[in-house]
Amino acid sequence: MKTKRIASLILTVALIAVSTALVACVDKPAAKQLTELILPELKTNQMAVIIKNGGNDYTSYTVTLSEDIKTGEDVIQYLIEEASLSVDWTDSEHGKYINSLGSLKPDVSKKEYINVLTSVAKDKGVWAGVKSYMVGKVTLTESQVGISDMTAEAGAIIYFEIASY
Amino acid sequence: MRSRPIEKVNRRGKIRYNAALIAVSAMYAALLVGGKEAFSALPNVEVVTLLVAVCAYVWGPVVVFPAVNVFIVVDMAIWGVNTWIISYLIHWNTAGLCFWLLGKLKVRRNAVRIVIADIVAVVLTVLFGVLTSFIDVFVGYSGGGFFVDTGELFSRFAVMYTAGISFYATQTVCNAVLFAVVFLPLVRINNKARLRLTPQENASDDSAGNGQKD
Repeated sequence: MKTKRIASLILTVALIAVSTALVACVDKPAAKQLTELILPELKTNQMAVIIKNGGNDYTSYTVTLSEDIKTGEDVIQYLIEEASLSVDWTDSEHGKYINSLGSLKPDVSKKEYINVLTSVAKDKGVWAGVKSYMVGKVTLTESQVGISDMTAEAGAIIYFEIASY
Repeated sequence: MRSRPIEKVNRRGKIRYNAALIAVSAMYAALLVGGKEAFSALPNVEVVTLLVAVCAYVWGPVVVFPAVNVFIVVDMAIWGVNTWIISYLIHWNTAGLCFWLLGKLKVRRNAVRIVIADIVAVVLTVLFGVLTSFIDVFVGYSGGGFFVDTGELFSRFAVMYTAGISFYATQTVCNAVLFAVVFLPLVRINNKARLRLTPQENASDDSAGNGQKD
């Protein structure tokens, strides 16, 4: 029957397309070394926020933790008050969404967004080939949770950069 | 879908029959795309499973497989290439296959048909969560092509699945309710449409399609 042949042909083409895509495999991206980034010295009750301004230019903030600072959102709020960090964020069903942060002003027309990486193990993304940076012995990995759910703890590093999709 | 032996079907009727199937397949592809986008604001509340199920159950593989794969290609044009394509190709074609086979079962009692369809839908939806979580931790896409990431695969899978479990639970409950309430009425409507669109087939073969009458 002609229609059956057409249906089989469409299905075969779809499967061949996927197979071809799978055959066209690339190597898993390796974690990049950020040799130019120097992490700040942290005391036992401190964590750090790093903003990549572009190229090899970074801004580092040290956050002294208190009982009021438990999440990434609390950390940003602290920096707004203590370091006059400029932030534009909006509420969403998943918590705060950062539109701009300090010098980071993503161009949405170029599909840019602010990417957040963390050193806190339980917040790290687990998807295949998740983006990671090595800074000395510290591994920064794309966060699986939004800024409002990120963990603020002693020794933690939260890293912001512009990325595109 | 079975039909009368080809030599017994006149050419005009055959063309009309094929055209009807292509039109129904295109309609279902459009319904799948539109249905998915219509519910996109509600996380994991979807009608795609229901539409694929009804399409496969009533119209069979000739209609459902092209519809499902066109839906995936259109979605690819909207959302771009990524690992979800692999999950979609496996899941929706499997769902179509399961409900086509289910449609071939000779079950007369409507209550039994609803219960079986509901169980199959729930199992498929649960497996969708497992499949998408596994593909997301196993296969990556870097823009240049796909790659495989096997490092700490099962621990990463456990974290990924656990993180999404509330969404998968929502989707499963949604489909359990949707199938219990809507599946059979939609099957009835589609069976009537099929009888109208393919009269020459039904005149020769009362058990065509899913073999059920409503």
